Amino acid sequence: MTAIENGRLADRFRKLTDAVANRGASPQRRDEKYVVCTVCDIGCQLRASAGPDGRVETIRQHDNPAFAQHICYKGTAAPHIHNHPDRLRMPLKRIGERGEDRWEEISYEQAMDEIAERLTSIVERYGPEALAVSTSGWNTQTTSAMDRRFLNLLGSPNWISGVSLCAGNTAAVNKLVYGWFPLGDFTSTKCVALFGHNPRKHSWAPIHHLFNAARGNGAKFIVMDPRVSEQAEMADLHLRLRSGTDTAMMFGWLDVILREELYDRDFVRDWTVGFEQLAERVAEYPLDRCADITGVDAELIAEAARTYAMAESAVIPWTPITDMQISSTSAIRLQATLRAITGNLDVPGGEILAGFNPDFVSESVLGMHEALSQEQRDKQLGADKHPAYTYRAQDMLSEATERAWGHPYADIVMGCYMANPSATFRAMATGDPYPVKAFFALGNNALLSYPNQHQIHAGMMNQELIVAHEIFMTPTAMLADYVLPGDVFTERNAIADAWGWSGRLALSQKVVEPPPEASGTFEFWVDLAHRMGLGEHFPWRTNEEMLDHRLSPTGSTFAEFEAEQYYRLQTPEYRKYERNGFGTPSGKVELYSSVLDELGFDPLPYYREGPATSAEYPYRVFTGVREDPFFQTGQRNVEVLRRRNPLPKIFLHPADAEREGLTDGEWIDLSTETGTVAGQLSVQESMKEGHVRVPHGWWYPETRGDAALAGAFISSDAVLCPDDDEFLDDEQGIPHFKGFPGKVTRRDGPPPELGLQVLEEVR
Amino acid sequence: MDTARRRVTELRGRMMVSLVNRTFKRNPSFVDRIAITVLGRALGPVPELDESFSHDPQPRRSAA
Repeated sequence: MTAIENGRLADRFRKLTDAVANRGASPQRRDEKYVVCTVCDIGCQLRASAGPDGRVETIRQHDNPAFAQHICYKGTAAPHIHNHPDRLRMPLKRIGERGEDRWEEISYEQAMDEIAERLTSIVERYGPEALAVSTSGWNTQTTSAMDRRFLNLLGSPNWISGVSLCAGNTAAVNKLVYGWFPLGDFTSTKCVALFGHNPRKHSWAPIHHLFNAARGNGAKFIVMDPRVSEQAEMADLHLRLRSGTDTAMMFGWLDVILREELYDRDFVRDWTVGFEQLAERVAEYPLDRCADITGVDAELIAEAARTYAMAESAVIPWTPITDMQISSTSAIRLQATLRAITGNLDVPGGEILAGFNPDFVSESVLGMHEALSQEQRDKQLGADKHPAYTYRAQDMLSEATERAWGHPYADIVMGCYMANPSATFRAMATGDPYPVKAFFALGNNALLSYPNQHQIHAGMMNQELIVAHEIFMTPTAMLADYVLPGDVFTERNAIADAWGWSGRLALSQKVVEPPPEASGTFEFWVDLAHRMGLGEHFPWRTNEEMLDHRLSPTGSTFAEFEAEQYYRLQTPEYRKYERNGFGTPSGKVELYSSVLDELGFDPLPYYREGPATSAEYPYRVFTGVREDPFFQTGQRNVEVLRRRNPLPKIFLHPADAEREGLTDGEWIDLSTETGTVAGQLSVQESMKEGHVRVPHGWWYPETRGDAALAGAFISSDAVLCPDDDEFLDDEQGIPHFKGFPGKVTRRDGPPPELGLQVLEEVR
Repeated sequence: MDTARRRVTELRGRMMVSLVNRTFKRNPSFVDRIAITVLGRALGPVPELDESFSHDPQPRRSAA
């Protein structure tokens, strides 16, 4: 082989293969590095290079044709974000009142010394559970579970994250059914059923393109969405259900599938428990009843059910829509049930149970969950009323997880051992059931990221110590005592492993140096641990040392990994459950949940109607919606992105707008019993009548210094969302974001805090 | 799906991943280059990024 490669034949072949492989995407330049973009959470691998001034200059699409379309305009805007003049570059210490936004610059060493000293004092006075941490792993990328390790060794169970509303909670509930969280095999599936999920060219681009490829391969698409979304427009079947009724829709499917015996009899017989009880429960939801609840024609529901069940292979991709409903736990379990009984688990074109990647030490191991005592586990906030994604429920799966996957802790998508956010902020505000007096937010604008923003604010105002680790000043950071500047993806080495979900390993290389006083979250937690007497458990002092450790199962170092490849997929091993069973107490798919039964919940799925509309609040408001230019609460300060969506748009159907006497483009108030936000009305034929759509995460960085907390309460959807029990899913305690009562009213122009000059600037 | 067909699809799935993994090498061998060629031909030409990806000078506004 070597002789051939050194010869002319090899040269000619190399040129030919380069030409074929790089059609449409120019080849890798010497000065380019592979990076994994973290502007959003999908993790596209791109190419980046630095300019002569040492700053990141260009972001380009991948040179491998498999990845070349995995890019969006948020990714190409990364240089505008990373080189932004408002990037935080020095640690800041508060010198004014909390939230006054007055600071002095200090060194990283001074900041860490003072944080450690103050946290130690709080732990001595209130106990370790008085520390709560809120973080977003996709933003911070390189934590390697050092946050969980620190908390577990310190003794605090109170780690919260946006993944409690998005993917993480789904992972935890999927584990209750079959012990893992599967990922759809889009490359060879023959049917895709989307519950409201709407990947687009510039939002979740890889999934958008994989869906297009699946369509090209003949896959049928079924979309359940009140709106005529982009995916709905391309669907074979579009079911315009009433928002928040996913559970009833799936009961309708099951009624058809069971009556017509469209399920996989062998799989059901050999690998499930509770099928008869499930059938009895399904009988309580006949097709006509489900049609009434969802507002979708019964025959259309039946056709969708048949299309899904009779496909050669089918997937129900994870969707944030199902994550955020009042009967979310039941809806997620029914999705899992459908996957299982139709024989689509761990088969090509179905749903793959990837398991731990054996080449990479997982965060589930690194987090040292075993170090947290039972006494401290029992203090996890929210676990008493809503245990599904807390230690209380997930610990009941430990033995089964170890049998099936080789390790007792499976913290998939970081979502399986969380405290409840609402319970945490309530404790911060009221001291009930115990005081929480220190709050750390890392890569996470917590104030706008969970329901009941007023309670979050009250909780933060009642803290003795708040630390924010961020790349820009956010409303959350403005409430902090210390703000530490973070690094960005072009400034660090990383290997992205999709948080234990897919088994992929994607290289991300440092392109430029971070600001001298900036840190990654890995360094933050390790440095804090060493200052607080936990250093022996944190032997890795650099991120690269940690990456070497994580690659140790292969005997490789990070340097060797990056020299050899830029990506590695785990070779699939199908039907793994035939070896050790599923990761549940019974070893089978638990259609009847033994864990929920033991915890005192209904062991079978059920439908629960959301809060009713009324004469005063006649519309069903759904929130949490992403806009292409932004990810969550970020990027409103990035001019090239903000220009694409200058202001928050509240969507309404033309008939509703006419009834309210409202016209497109005017400013309106959207109110619920919890609060009011302002936005520009966008009248859209694609909306379903009686529904209002409000975008997620709006604030106005340009008003910093004028409006309180840079306009954090003007248009943020978190203001609208209540978190009283009647609005929460029972098992998880997550809010009903998809259909709570609201009303719209005209307002006299934009909120005065914004200022017309500001509005003109962003136009 | 019958057992024989299922085994074929599973084998194909594993082979696809093995083939794609070869295309990720920084210094591809002769066999890796065959894989790169096969993948390139299978996926076809990659379209250039259109103007919506550009941020200069003034991008178009888009609806969410």
